[in-house]
Amino acid sequence: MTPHETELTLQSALRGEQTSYRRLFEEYSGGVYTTVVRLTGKTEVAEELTQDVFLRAFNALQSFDSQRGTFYTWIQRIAYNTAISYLRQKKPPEAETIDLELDRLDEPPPEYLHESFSEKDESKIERLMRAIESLPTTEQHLLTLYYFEERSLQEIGYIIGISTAALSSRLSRIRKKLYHKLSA
Amino acid sequence: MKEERNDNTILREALSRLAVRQSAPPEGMTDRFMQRLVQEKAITNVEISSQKNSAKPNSRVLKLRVWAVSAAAVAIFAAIMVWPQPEQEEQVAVVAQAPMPYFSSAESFNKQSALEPIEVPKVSNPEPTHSSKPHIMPPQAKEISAQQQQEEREEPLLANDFPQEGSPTVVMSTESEIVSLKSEPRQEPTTSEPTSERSNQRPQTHFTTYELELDRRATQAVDEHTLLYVGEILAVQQLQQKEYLIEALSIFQQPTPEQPKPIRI
Repeated sequence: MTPHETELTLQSALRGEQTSYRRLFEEYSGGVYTTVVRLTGKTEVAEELTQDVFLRAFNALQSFDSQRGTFYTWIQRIAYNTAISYLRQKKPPEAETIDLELDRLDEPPPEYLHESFSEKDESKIERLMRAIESLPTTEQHLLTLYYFEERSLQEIGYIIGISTAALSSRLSRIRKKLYHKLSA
Repeated sequence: MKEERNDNTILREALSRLAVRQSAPPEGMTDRFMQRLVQEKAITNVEISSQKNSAKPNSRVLKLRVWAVSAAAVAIFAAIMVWPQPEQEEQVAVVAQAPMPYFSSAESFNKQSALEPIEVPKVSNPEPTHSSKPHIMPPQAKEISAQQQQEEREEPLLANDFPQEGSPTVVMSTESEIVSLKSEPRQEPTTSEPTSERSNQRPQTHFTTYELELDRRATQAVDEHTLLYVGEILAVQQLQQKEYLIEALSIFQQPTPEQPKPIRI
Protein backbone atom coordinates (compact mmCIF):
# COMPACT_ATOMS: atom_id res chain seq x y z
CA MET A 1 0.00 0.00 0.00
CA THR A 2 1.54 3.28 -1.10
CA PRO A 3 1.41 6.33 1.17
CA HIS A 4 -1.26 7.85 -1.07
CA GLU A 5 -3.38 4.69 -0.88
CA THR A 6 -2.94 4.66 2.89
CA GLU A 7 -4.12 8.27 3.02
CA LEU A 8 -7.24 7.48 0.97
CA THR A 9 -7.98 4.41 3.08
CA LEU A 10 -7.65 6.46 6.25
CA GLN A 11 -10.06 9.07 4.92
CA SER A 12 -12.65 6.45 4.03
CA ALA A 13 -12.14 4.83 7.44
CA LEU A 14 -12.87 8.18 9.04
CA ARG A 15 -16.14 8.19 7.10
CA GLY A 16 -16.95 4.88 8.76
CA GLU A 17 -16.43 2.44 5.92
CA GLN A 18 -15.86 -1.00 7.35
CA THR A 19 -13.83 -2.25 4.38
CA SER A 20 -11.24 0.42 5.05
CA TYR A 21 -10.71 -0.86 8.57
CA ARG A 22 -10.23 -4.33 7.18
CA ARG A 23 -7.69 -3.08 4.61
CA LEU A 24 -5.68 -1.21 7.23
CA PHE A 25 -5.65 -4.21 9.52
CA GLU A 26 -4.57 -6.56 6.74
CA GLU A 27 -1.79 -4.19 5.75
CA TYR A 28 -0.30 -3.37 9.15
CA SER A 29 -1.30 -6.21 11.49
CA GLY A 30 1.72 -8.33 10.52
CA GLY A 31 4.22 -5.74 11.69
CA VAL A 32 2.27 -5.02 14.83
CA TYR A 33 1.98 -8.72 15.64
CA THR A 34 5.74 -9.22 15.19
CA THR A 35 6.49 -6.24 17.40
CA VAL A 36 4.18 -7.50 20.11
CA VAL A 37 5.66 -11.00 19.98
CA ARG A 38 9.21 -9.59 20.06
CA LEU A 39 8.52 -7.37 23.02
CA THR A 40 6.38 -9.70 25.09
CA GLY A 41 7.87 -13.00 23.94
CA LYS A 42 4.44 -14.58 24.15
CA THR A 43 2.57 -15.68 21.08
CA GLU A 44 -0.49 -16.68 23.09
CA VAL A 45 -1.31 -13.07 23.97
CA ALA A 46 0.06 -11.50 20.81
CA GLU A 47 -3.18 -11.73 18.83
CA GLU A 48 -5.24 -10.17 21.58
CA LEU A 49 -2.72 -7.40 22.05
CA THR A 50 -2.58 -6.80 18.30
CA GLN A 51 -6.35 -6.42 18.25
CA ASP A 52 -6.11 -4.04 21.21
CA VAL A 53 -3.59 -1.97 19.30
CA PHE A 54 -5.87 -1.60 16.29
CA LEU A 55 -8.94 -0.89 18.40
CA ARG A 56 -7.06 1.92 20.10
CA ALA A 57 -5.80 3.19 16.77
CA PHE A 58 -9.23 3.17 15.13
CA ASN A 59 -10.85 4.86 18.09
CA ALA A 60 -8.23 7.59 17.99
CA LEU A 61 -8.00 7.77 14.21
CA GLN A 62 -8.94 11.44 14.17
CA SER A 63 -5.90 12.30 16.28
CA PHE A 64 -3.54 10.83 13.67
CA ASP A 65 -1.46 13.58 12.07
CA SER A 66 0.20 12.57 8.83
CA GLN A 67 2.51 15.61 9.10
CA ARG A 68 4.24 14.14 12.18
CA GLY A 69 4.84 10.70 10.75
CA THR A 70 3.52 7.83 8.71
CA PHE A 71 0.67 5.59 9.76
CA TYR A 72 3.23 2.80 10.24
CA THR A 73 5.24 4.70 12.85
CA TRP A 74 2.02 5.84 14.55
CA ILE A 75 0.63 2.34 14.92
CA GLN A 76 4.04 0.94 15.86
CA ARG A 77 4.20 3.49 18.67
CA ILE A 78 0.77 2.30 19.88
CA ALA A 79 1.97 -1.30 19.63
CA TYR A 80 5.14 -0.54 21.60
CA ASN A 81 3.21 1.24 24.35
CA THR A 82 0.61 -1.53 24.49
CA ALA A 83 3.25 -4.23 24.80
CA ILE A 84 5.25 -2.32 27.41
CA SER A 85 2.18 -1.65 29.51
CA TYR A 86 1.33 -5.35 29.27
CA LEU A 87 4.82 -6.27 30.46
CA ARG A 88 4.59 -3.81 33.32
CA GLN A 89 1.35 -5.41 34.43
CA LYS A 90 2.77 -8.91 34.25
CA LYS A 91 6.21 -8.52 35.72
CA PRO A 92 8.16 -5.87 37.66
CA PRO A 93 10.40 -3.48 35.70
CA GLU A 94 13.95 -4.60 35.10
CA ALA A 95 16.57 -3.18 37.37
CA GLU A 96 19.12 -0.72 36.06
CA THR A 97 22.05 -2.65 37.57
CA ILE A 98 22.88 -4.23 34.25
CA ASP A 99 23.26 -0.86 32.59
CA LEU A 100 25.38 0.37 35.49
CA GLU A 101 27.63 -2.63 35.11
CA LEU A 102 27.76 -1.97 31.41
CA ASP A 103 29.00 1.56 32.03
CA ARG A 104 32.00 0.16 33.86
CA LEU A 105 32.96 -2.04 30.86
CA ASP A 106 35.47 -0.92 28.26
CA GLU A 107 34.35 0.49 24.93
CA PRO A 108 34.74 -2.07 22.11
CA PRO A 109 37.25 -1.10 19.42
CA PRO A 110 35.47 0.04 16.25
CA GLU A 111 37.50 -2.23 14.00
CA TYR A 112 36.52 -5.26 16.05
CA LEU A 113 32.85 -4.46 15.66
CA HIS A 114 33.34 -3.87 12.01
CA GLU A 115 35.18 -7.13 11.58
CA SER A 116 32.88 -9.20 13.62
CA PHE A 117 29.70 -7.92 12.00
CA SER A 118 30.88 -7.82 8.44
CA GLU A 119 32.13 -11.37 8.13
CA LYS A 120 29.65 -13.98 7.04
CA ASP A 121 30.41 -16.83 9.30
CA GLU A 122 27.74 -19.33 10.32
CA SER A 123 29.21 -19.92 13.75
CA LYS A 124 29.43 -16.19 14.37
CA ILE A 125 25.83 -15.71 13.24
CA GLU A 126 24.65 -18.42 15.63
CA ARG A 127 26.56 -16.85 18.52
CA LEU A 128 25.21 -13.44 17.61
CA MET A 129 21.65 -14.75 17.51
CA ARG A 130 22.05 -16.23 21.00
CA ALA A 131 23.53 -12.95 22.22
CA ILE A 132 20.63 -10.98 20.77
CA GLU A 133 18.11 -13.34 22.32
CA SER A 134 19.73 -12.83 25.71
CA LEU A 135 19.12 -9.08 25.49
CA PRO A 136 15.98 -7.51 26.95
CA THR A 137 13.09 -7.49 24.53
CA THR A 138 13.06 -3.69 24.24
CA GLU A 139 16.69 -3.74 23.16
CA GLN A 140 16.00 -6.51 20.68
CA HIS A 141 13.21 -4.37 19.33
CA LEU A 142 15.52 -1.39 19.00
CA LEU A 143 18.09 -3.46 17.14
CA THR A 144 15.40 -4.82 14.81
CA LEU A 145 14.00 -1.39 14.08
CA TYR A 146 17.40 0.10 13.43
CA TYR A 147 19.42 -2.66 11.78
CA PHE A 148 16.78 -4.89 10.21
CA GLU A 149 13.91 -2.55 9.31
CA GLU A 150 16.35 0.32 8.79
CA ARG A 151 14.12 2.92 10.34
CA SER A 152 15.51 6.38 10.95
CA LEU A 153 16.45 7.56 14.41
CA GLN A 154 13.55 10.03 14.33
CA GLU A 155 11.05 7.29 13.54
CA ILE A 156 12.37 4.95 16.23
CA GLY A 157 12.51 7.83 18.71
CA TYR A 158 8.88 8.59 17.94
CA ILE A 159 7.88 4.93 18.29
CA ILE A 160 9.50 4.33 21.65
CA GLY A 161 9.04 7.86 22.86
CA ILE A 162 12.61 9.06 23.36
CA SER A 163 14.80 11.65 21.71
CA THR A 164 17.27 10.82 18.95
CA ALA A 165 20.23 11.60 21.26
CA ALA A 166 18.97 9.22 23.91
CA LEU A 167 18.32 6.65 21.21
CA SER A 168 21.89 6.94 19.90
CA SER A 169 23.17 6.42 23.40
CA ARG A 170 21.01 3.38 23.92
CA LEU A 171 22.10 1.84 20.63
CA SER A 172 25.72 2.37 21.59
CA ARG A 173 25.15 0.57 24.88
CA ILE A 174 23.45 -2.31 23.13
CA ARG A 175 26.36 -2.71 20.74
CA LYS A 176 28.79 -2.68 23.65
CA LYS A 177 26.77 -5.32 25.40
CA LEU A 178 26.76 -7.52 22.31
CA TYR A 179 30.51 -7.16 21.96
CA HIS A 180 31.13 -8.33 25.48
CA LYS A 181 28.71 -11.19 25.09
CA LEU A 182 30.44 -12.34 21.95
CA SER A 183 33.93 -11.96 23.40
CA ALA A 184 33.02 -13.75 26.63
CA MET B 1 26.20 6.01 11.94
CA LYS B 2 24.48 5.14 8.68
CA GLU B 3 27.69 3.66 7.26
CA GLU B 4 28.15 1.59 10.38
CA ARG B 5 24.63 0.22 9.95
CA ASN B 6 25.28 -0.72 6.32
CA ASP B 7 28.47 -2.55 7.21
CA ASN B 8 26.82 -4.72 9.83
CA THR B 9 25.52 -7.29 7.41
CA ILE B 10 26.12 -10.15 9.85
CA LEU B 11 23.96 -8.44 12.46
CA ARG B 12 21.21 -7.89 9.90
CA GLU B 13 21.42 -11.54 8.94
CA ALA B 14 21.07 -12.62 12.55
CA LEU B 15 18.11 -10.33 13.09
CA SER B 16 16.38 -11.53 9.93
CA ARG B 17 16.77 -15.13 11.04
CA LEU B 18 15.33 -14.26 14.42
CA ALA B 19 12.40 -12.52 12.76
CA VAL B 20 11.68 -15.63 10.73
CA ARG B 21 11.75 -17.70 13.91
CA GLN B 22 9.13 -15.50 15.46
CA SER B 23 5.81 -16.88 14.40
CA ALA B 24 3.74 -15.18 11.75
CA PRO B 25 0.25 -13.86 12.53
CA PRO B 26 -2.26 -16.71 12.82
CA GLU B 27 -4.78 -17.26 10.07
CA GLY B 28 -8.19 -15.71 10.41
CA MET B 29 -6.94 -12.98 12.70
CA THR B 30 -8.49 -10.32 10.47
CA ASP B 31 -11.95 -11.90 10.61
CA ARG B 32 -11.75 -12.31 14.35
CA PHE B 33 -10.67 -8.71 14.72
CA MET B 34 -13.54 -7.47 12.56
CA GLN B 35 -16.00 -9.43 14.69
CA ARG B 36 -14.52 -7.92 17.84
CA LEU B 37 -14.62 -4.49 16.24
CA VAL B 38 -18.34 -4.83 15.55
CA GLN B 39 -19.03 -6.31 19.00
CA GLU B 40 -17.27 -3.51 20.80
CA LYS B 41 -18.97 -0.96 18.55
CA ALA B 42 -15.71 0.72 17.80
CA ILE B 43 -16.84 1.40 14.23
CA THR B 44 -20.12 2.84 15.42
CA ASN B 45 -18.28 5.30 17.63
CA VAL B 46 -16.12 6.37 14.73
CA GLU B 47 -19.17 6.74 12.51
CA ILE B 48 -20.89 8.92 15.06
CA SER B 49 -17.83 11.09 15.57
CA SER B 50 -17.38 11.52 11.82
CA GLN B 51 -21.03 12.54 11.45
CA LYS B 52 -20.57 15.10 14.19
CA ASN B 53 -17.77 16.75 12.27
CA SER B 54 -19.11 16.43 8.77
CA ALA B 55 -22.71 17.50 8.74
CA LYS B 56 -24.43 20.19 10.71
CA PRO B 57 -27.57 20.17 8.49
CA ASN B 58 -28.22 16.64 9.75
CA SER B 59 -28.71 17.98 13.24
CA ARG B 60 -31.25 20.47 11.88
CA VAL B 61 -33.12 17.69 10.15
CA LEU B 62 -33.05 15.69 13.36
CA LYS B 63 -34.41 18.63 15.33
CA LEU B 64 -37.21 19.08 12.79
CA ARG B 65 -38.03 15.40 13.00
CA VAL B 66 -38.14 15.55 16.77
CA TRP B 67 -40.44 18.55 16.64
CA ALA B 68 -42.72 16.89 14.12
CA VAL B 69 -42.96 13.70 16.13
CA SER B 70 -43.65 15.56 19.37
CA ALA B 71 -46.32 17.74 17.71
CA ALA B 72 -48.01 14.67 16.27
CA ALA B 73 -47.95 12.99 19.66
CA VAL B 74 -49.55 16.05 21.32
CA ALA B 75 -52.23 16.20 18.62
CA ILE B 76 -53.06 12.52 19.02
CA PHE B 77 -53.22 12.88 22.79
CA ALA B 78 -55.52 15.89 22.52
CA ALA B 79 -57.79 14.07 20.06
CA ILE B 80 -58.02 11.10 22.42
CA MET B 81 -58.88 13.35 25.35
CA VAL B 82 -61.54 15.36 23.46
CA TRP B 83 -63.13 12.52 21.51
CA PRO B 84 -65.99 10.76 23.34
CA GLN B 85 -65.17 7.28 24.48
CA PRO B 86 -67.17 4.64 22.57
CA GLU B 87 -67.46 2.55 25.71
CA GLN B 88 -69.13 5.40 27.54
CA GLU B 89 -71.61 5.85 24.69
CA GLU B 90 -72.41 2.18 24.76
CA GLN B 91 -72.86 2.28 28.50
CA VAL B 92 -75.27 5.22 28.19
CA ALA B 93 -77.20 3.36 25.50
CA VAL B 94 -77.37 0.27 27.65
CA VAL B 95 -78.70 2.28 30.58
CA ALA B 96 -81.30 4.01 28.42
CA GLN B 97 -82.49 0.99 26.45
CA ALA B 98 -81.88 -2.15 28.41
CA PRO B 99 -82.90 -3.07 31.92
CA MET B 100 -80.34 -3.39 34.64
CA PRO B 101 -78.37 -6.62 34.93
CA TYR B 102 -80.36 -9.20 36.72
CA PHE B 103 -79.01 -11.66 39.25
CA SER B 104 -75.65 -10.09 39.01
CA SER B 105 -74.52 -11.56 42.28
CA ALA B 106 -75.62 -15.00 41.20
CA GLU B 107 -73.59 -14.64 38.03
CA SER B 108 -70.61 -13.59 40.04
CA PHE B 109 -71.20 -16.66 42.12
CA ASN B 110 -71.19 -18.78 38.99
CA LYS B 111 -67.94 -17.20 37.80
CA GLN B 112 -66.39 -17.66 41.18
CA SER B 113 -67.47 -21.27 41.21
CA ALA B 114 -65.99 -21.76 37.77
CA LEU B 115 -62.64 -20.54 39.03
CA GLU B 116 -62.70 -22.32 42.38
CA PRO B 117 -64.61 -25.55 42.53
CA ILE B 118 -66.84 -25.51 45.59
CA GLU B 119 -68.80 -28.40 46.87
CA VAL B 120 -72.39 -27.56 46.10
CA PRO B 121 -75.31 -29.96 46.29
CA LYS B 122 -76.13 -31.33 42.89
CA VAL B 123 -78.94 -29.72 40.95
CA SER B 124 -81.58 -32.03 39.63
CA ASN B 125 -81.58 -30.39 36.23
CA PRO B 126 -78.19 -31.02 34.63
CA GLU B 127 -78.67 -28.32 32.02
CA PRO B 128 -76.71 -25.15 32.69
CA THR B 129 -78.92 -22.35 33.87
CA HIS B 130 -76.59 -19.60 32.74
CA SER B 131 -74.74 -19.35 29.54
CA SER B 132 -71.60 -17.33 29.24
CA LYS B 133 -72.84 -15.58 26.12
CA PRO B 134 -75.34 -12.75 26.48
CA HIS B 135 -78.65 -13.97 25.15
CA ILE B 136 -81.12 -11.62 23.50
CA MET B 137 -84.72 -12.51 24.09
CA PRO B 138 -87.29 -12.21 21.34
CA PRO B 139 -90.14 -9.71 21.87
CA GLN B 140 -92.65 -12.48 22.64
CA ALA B 141 -90.48 -13.83 25.38
CA LYS B 142 -90.10 -10.33 26.78
CA GLU B 143 -93.89 -10.02 26.98
CA ILE B 144 -94.18 -13.37 28.72
CA SER B 145 -91.43 -12.48 31.15
CA ALA B 146 -93.04 -9.14 31.91
CA GLN B 147 -96.29 -10.97 32.62
CA GLN B 148 -94.47 -13.38 34.90
CA GLN B 149 -92.81 -10.53 36.69
CA GLN B 150 -96.17 -8.89 37.32
CA GLU B 151 -97.56 -12.16 38.65
CA GLU B 152 -94.62 -12.66 40.92
CA ARG B 153 -94.89 -9.10 42.17
CA GLU B 154 -98.48 -9.75 43.21
CA GLU B 155 -97.49 -12.91 45.05
CA PRO B 156 -96.72 -12.29 48.71
CA LEU B 157 -93.43 -13.34 50.12
CA LEU B 158 -94.04 -16.72 51.70
CA ALA B 159 -92.67 -17.76 55.02
CA ASN B 160 -91.23 -20.87 53.37
CA ASP B 161 -88.93 -18.69 51.32
CA PHE B 162 -87.08 -17.58 54.42
CA PRO B 163 -84.10 -19.70 55.36
CA GLN B 164 -84.71 -21.91 58.34
CA GLU B 165 -82.24 -23.32 60.77
CA GLY B 166 -80.74 -26.52 59.54
CA SER B 167 -82.08 -26.16 56.06
CA PRO B 168 -79.39 -26.50 53.39
CA THR B 169 -78.53 -23.43 51.35
CA VAL B 170 -79.16 -24.35 47.77
CA VAL B 171 -78.43 -22.28 44.75
CA MET B 172 -81.27 -22.44 42.25
CA SER B 173 -82.30 -25.76 43.64
CA THR B 174 -85.90 -25.74 42.48
CA GLU B 175 -87.17 -25.97 38.96
CA SER B 176 -89.22 -22.83 39.37
CA GLU B 177 -86.09 -20.84 40.07
CA ILE B 178 -84.43 -22.24 36.99
CA VAL B 179 -87.46 -21.39 34.88
CA SER B 180 -87.56 -17.89 36.25
CA LEU B 181 -83.91 -17.44 35.59
CA LYS B 182 -84.32 -18.66 32.05
CA SER B 183 -87.32 -16.49 31.33
CA GLU B 184 -86.07 -13.34 33.01
CA PRO B 185 -84.87 -10.70 30.59
CA ARG B 186 -81.40 -9.89 31.62
CA GLN B 187 -78.35 -8.31 30.14
CA GLU B 188 -74.95 -9.74 30.71
CA PRO B 189 -72.42 -7.17 31.84
CA THR B 190 -70.34 -5.88 28.98
CA THR B 191 -67.10 -6.29 30.85
CA SER B 192 -66.08 -8.87 33.34
CA GLU B 193 -64.28 -6.43 35.63
CA PRO B 194 -67.26 -5.19 37.67
CA THR B 195 -68.46 -8.73 38.19
CA SER B 196 -65.06 -9.85 39.32
CA GLU B 197 -64.82 -6.85 41.62
CA ARG B 198 -68.17 -7.66 43.10
CA SER B 199 -67.17 -11.26 43.52
CA ASN B 200 -64.05 -10.12 45.29
CA GLN B 201 -65.97 -7.81 47.56
CA ARG B 202 -68.49 -10.46 48.44
CA PRO B 203 -66.82 -13.66 49.41
CA GLN B 204 -70.18 -15.36 50.12
CA THR B 205 -70.77 -18.07 47.58
CA HIS B 206 -74.12 -19.50 48.73
CA PHE B 207 -77.37 -17.67 48.13
CA THR B 208 -80.62 -18.58 49.61
CA THR B 209 -83.88 -18.31 47.73
CA TYR B 210 -84.85 -15.43 49.95
CA GLU B 211 -81.73 -13.48 49.11
CA LEU B 212 -82.20 -14.11 45.42
CA GLU B 213 -85.79 -12.94 45.62
CA LEU B 214 -84.76 -9.77 47.45
CA ASP B 215 -82.12 -9.11 44.87
CA ARG B 216 -84.55 -9.62 42.04
CA ARG B 217 -87.11 -7.26 43.51
CA ALA B 218 -84.53 -4.57 44.20
CA THR B 219 -83.33 -4.80 40.63
CA GLN B 220 -86.90 -4.62 39.37
CA ALA B 221 -87.53 -1.46 41.36
CA VAL B 222 -84.44 0.14 39.93
CA ASP B 223 -85.55 -0.88 36.44
CA GLU B 224 -88.95 0.74 36.88
CA HIS B 225 -87.35 3.89 38.19
CA THR B 226 -84.96 4.00 35.27
CA LEU B 227 -87.76 3.50 32.78
CA LEU B 228 -89.76 6.33 34.32
CA TYR B 229 -86.75 8.60 34.17
CA VAL B 230 -86.04 7.70 30.55
CA GLY B 231 -89.67 8.24 29.66
CA GLU B 232 -89.57 11.71 31.14
CA ILE B 233 -86.45 12.54 29.20
CA LEU B 234 -88.02 11.32 25.97
CA ALA B 235 -91.15 13.36 26.55
CA VAL B 236 -89.10 16.50 27.16
CA GLN B 237 -87.07 15.82 24.06
CA GLN B 238 -90.21 15.41 21.96
CA LEU B 239 -91.53 18.71 23.22
CA GLN B 240 -88.28 20.44 22.46
CA GLN B 241 -88.24 18.99 18.96
CA LYS B 242 -91.74 20.23 18.30
CA GLU B 243 -90.78 23.65 19.52
CA TYR B 244 -87.72 23.79 17.31
CA LEU B 245 -89.72 22.65 14.29
CA ILE B 246 -92.32 25.35 14.76
CA GLU B 247 -89.64 27.99 15.20
CA ALA B 248 -87.93 26.85 12.01
CA LEU B 249 -91.15 27.01 10.07
CA SER B 250 -91.89 30.48 11.36
CA ILE B 251 -88.51 31.71 10.17
CA PHE B 252 -89.00 30.47 6.61
CA GLN B 253 -92.67 31.45 6.29
CA GLN B 254 -93.32 34.99 5.11
CA PRO B 255 -96.15 36.45 7.17
CA THR B 256 -98.91 37.78 4.90
CA PRO B 257 -101.93 39.76 6.00
CA GLU B 258 -104.23 36.96 4.82
CA GLN B 259 -102.32 34.16 6.44
CA PRO B 260 -102.70 33.69 10.14
CA LYS B 261 -99.63 34.10 12.26
CA PRO B 262 -97.89 30.87 13.36
CA ILE B 263 -98.90 29.73 16.70
CA ARG B 264 -96.09 29.59 19.18
CA ILE B 265 -96.19 27.04 21.87
